[in-house]
Amino acid sequence: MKNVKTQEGKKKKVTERSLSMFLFTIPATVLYCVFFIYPIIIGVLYSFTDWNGLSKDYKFIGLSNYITAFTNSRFQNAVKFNIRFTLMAVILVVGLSLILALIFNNSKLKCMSLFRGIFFFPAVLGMLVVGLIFNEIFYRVVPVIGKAMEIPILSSNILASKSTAIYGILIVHVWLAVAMATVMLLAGLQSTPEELYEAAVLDGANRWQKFKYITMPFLLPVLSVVLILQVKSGLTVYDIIVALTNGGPGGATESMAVLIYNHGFKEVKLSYAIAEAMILTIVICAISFIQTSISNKKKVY
Amino acid sequence: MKKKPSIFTYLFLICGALLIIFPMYLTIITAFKSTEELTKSIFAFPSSFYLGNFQEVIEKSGFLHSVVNTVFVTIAACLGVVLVVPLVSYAIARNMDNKRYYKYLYYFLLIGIFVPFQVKMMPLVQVMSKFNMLNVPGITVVYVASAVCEGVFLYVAFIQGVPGELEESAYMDGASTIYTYWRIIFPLLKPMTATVLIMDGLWYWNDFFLPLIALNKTPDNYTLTLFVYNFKSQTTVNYSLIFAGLLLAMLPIMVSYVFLQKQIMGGLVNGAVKG
Amino acid sequence: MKKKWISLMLATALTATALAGCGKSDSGSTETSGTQSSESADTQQDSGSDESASSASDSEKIVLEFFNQKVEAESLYNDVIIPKFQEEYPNVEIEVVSPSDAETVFFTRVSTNDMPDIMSIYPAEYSYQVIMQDGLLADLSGKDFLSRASEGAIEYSTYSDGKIYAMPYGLSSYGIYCNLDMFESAGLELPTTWDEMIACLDAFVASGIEKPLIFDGKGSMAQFAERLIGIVDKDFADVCEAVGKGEGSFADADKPQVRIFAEALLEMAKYAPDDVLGIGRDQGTADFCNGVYPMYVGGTFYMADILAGNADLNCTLIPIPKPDGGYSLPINVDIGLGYYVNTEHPDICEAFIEFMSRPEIYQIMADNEGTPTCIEGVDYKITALQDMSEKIVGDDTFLTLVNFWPSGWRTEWTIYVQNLLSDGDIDALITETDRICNDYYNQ
Repeated sequence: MKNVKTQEGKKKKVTERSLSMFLFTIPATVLYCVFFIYPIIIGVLYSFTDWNGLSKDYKFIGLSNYITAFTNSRFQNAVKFNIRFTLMAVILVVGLSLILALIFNNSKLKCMSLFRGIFFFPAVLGMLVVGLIFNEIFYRVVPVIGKAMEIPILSSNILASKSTAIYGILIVHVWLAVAMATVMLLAGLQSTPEELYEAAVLDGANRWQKFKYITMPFLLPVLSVVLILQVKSGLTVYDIIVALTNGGPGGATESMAVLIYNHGFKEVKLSYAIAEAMILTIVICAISFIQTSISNKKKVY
Repeated sequence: MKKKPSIFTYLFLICGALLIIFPMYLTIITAFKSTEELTKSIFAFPSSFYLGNFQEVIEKSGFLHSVVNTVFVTIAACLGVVLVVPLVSYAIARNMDNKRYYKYLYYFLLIGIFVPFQVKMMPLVQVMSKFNMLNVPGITVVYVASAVCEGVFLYVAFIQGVPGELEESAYMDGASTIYTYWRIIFPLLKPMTATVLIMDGLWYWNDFFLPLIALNKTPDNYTLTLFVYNFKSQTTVNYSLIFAGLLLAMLPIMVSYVFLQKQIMGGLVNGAVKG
Repeated sequence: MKKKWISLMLATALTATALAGCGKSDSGSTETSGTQSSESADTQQDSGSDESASSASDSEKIVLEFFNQKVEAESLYNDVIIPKFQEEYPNVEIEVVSPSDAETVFFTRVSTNDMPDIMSIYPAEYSYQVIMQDGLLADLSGKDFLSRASEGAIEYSTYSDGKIYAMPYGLSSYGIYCNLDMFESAGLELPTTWDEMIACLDAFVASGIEKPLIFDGKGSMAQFAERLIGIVDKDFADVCEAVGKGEGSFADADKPQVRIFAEALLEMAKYAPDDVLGIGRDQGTADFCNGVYPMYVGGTFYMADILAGNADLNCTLIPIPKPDGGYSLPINVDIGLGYYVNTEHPDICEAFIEFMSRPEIYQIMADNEGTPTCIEGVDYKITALQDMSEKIVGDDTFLTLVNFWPSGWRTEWTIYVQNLLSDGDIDALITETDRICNDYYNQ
């Protein structure tokens, strides 16, 4: 008898738990469906029409927006820009923030709070103000320095040249993005149990071994989050470009997001713009999926 | 245990710090210059600390109202995020390995991360308009909804790193799920909560595009960025005024940063997880 | 632990000092804001009770929304014009909404069926014509007050169905701002022909001003290029359509417009800074205001910024000469007022539009805002644009081409104009112009 009772109790408990767990998911899921998924579905439906965003009438035109996008040279250029930009941005941001996080994880660092305070500072800034400041720096300061040091590339506004404008945007992007990435990596590093290092030292492990066998496995989940967020922000880069070059000169920095905005609002082709945005979505999905499955394989439990 | 940082480490940090400080120096001195002084030289130190720009921003009708709106949106939306997001993340993180619903829900919630705002921009405003939500409380709800996917992504990864023994022993003692979550799990998530709050808080505070298309109906609804941007389009050349406005707009968030920094950086992770 | 606290507080103090530059000013501003907030709260309460009192006596208060795209005129409407309107219509409240990036906001509202009652629009531009086509704006044709605008302005505001959906108030044009003091000290006259302009520029170079001309190749390349090719041939859009329909190419001898345009633009660019493609409108305006450049290509709508940047600047706006002699002024309607066809109070909307068109009322606008007006009987007083404002209502004008090209044509073409400025390859521009025409006119 006693035995049966405990079993029943256990069963009941499991039900309470699973019911609560289920209820836990409801608020977020409802909000997300109404204000996120539903608009996306409507957006996707629009992408199969010829709605210009303004007129009352529109008709279903199937995949024609998508086909136009794929064959459009401006869109292809935007894709190329985004790939180049994202590759460079991810390498720079993740590299720099990893170095910084490792430095800050060392409690023997002097003036730690001061440095941390300064390095996290860009994260609180709005994109516009940063864009405006750097716009002036590239226009008025860098050329002065470049001329003084006789570096031809730097002696005129790097945003004005088709070949260098992308680096101007990259600099500002990295300037802004490193702060948040560093904080996240640092939080990850600090979750690493201190005892493991102590044990490793006793075992005579060197610095690299400690990093590879202790730091890395614990850092990996956060690192993969940082990577995905960086890939996404690289692929959807928008505000900084609008503040710095507006896609120019000669379309050299027209990213997909900028192009989508231009098509949607400046050229009144909203459904076409949404189709382009959908393609961007698929690209981001694919890259992130590959990235997650790679890092999941390496994950240590 | 750890080695002392080398001189190169310090050099590296100092160079980086200078790169960050210089543009900031520029922002601050610009905000303190009069228009005439600014047009003469952008980079010179202001001859006197001209407070007219700040005064002009603050006196402009609607500034304080927009501050109130922004504070409300930021705090209310952050509160919403803290209530809703860790809850769902906890359920997913603890069940996704053996229950399909949670696994699929996780991926369903993640889809949002990949969708650029442009896809849903126009339909979202249509939905908000239908529910009569093109106002400050309305945008708050939308912000909470928009924070779900990234929040879940971050929290789930974090919760998976939190050992399950603590809560298991609580369950053994007969504690209810909600009690266990609130008393044991939620405190353990503090470091991630701080990070998520800061990320989302900054986003809400600095966001421009959604307020622009959703809150434009009356100036009573303006947030601080909308207000400052209005300033910007009214005064193309008057940078000092814009920078003064932006500096004022940043001030509260920077003060909160100074205090929340402790939450993130502190040894909460170590302490709580070990305990 | 103690050490941590100390360093944290140190950092706090440092950040705080760095933030405000000096602590004093910081506390000062908070104090002001504190008193301000209580004051504004008081006034709010007062106005609230006022409203309830007046609404009780007037039985019904009509509230209309006015979507204003000229952000710089917002306070003028609120403080001067609407109170004057309310003297005649005491029970009407007009709420002025002037968001930044007004165009984006306006389109969002149109597509969510949230039309304002009264709105300012650019009646000649494609996106607004979509709204007219959908019948969202009330027809104003035949109203008496239309005769207060110049004939040209009415012609430029007429939609292709022959109806008028917006009352025009101002016309904008494009030209070259000249710093008269710099012209004087170099002993130069204002140029009226292309050759004189080039001679002027050469003279400036000889006098030591290495780069005497500036245009904002980043912010306003599209506007400048559009005007310049219109100056070359005001019927260029028709030629584009012909090329798009397969009738020849811009490489043909009888369609030299793109080549003439490209040569003219490259000739002007020789006198402009090398990084002209990186110069935004604010930077260009600031430099012109500071007397760095004697000549600055821009529109009449730059005037307000120039005045704000340097009110004492002695400058004037001259037309861009045609490369083959004479001049031809590109005109755009800037701005017109229309009202929503389904508004609850069409009579009051119309009354407001009529009210705004009275010379004595629009005079207030013209005195405070730079755009030359097309309302007859208004005395235009901004000296730098006086000549231009007379020419604008003259005969040598044309409606600028953005109103004729298919939507998006200009944006795409501008990319290749910028390419031309960076590599000087005229043939590439011609090839691309052909292609864009093909793409856009065959859709």
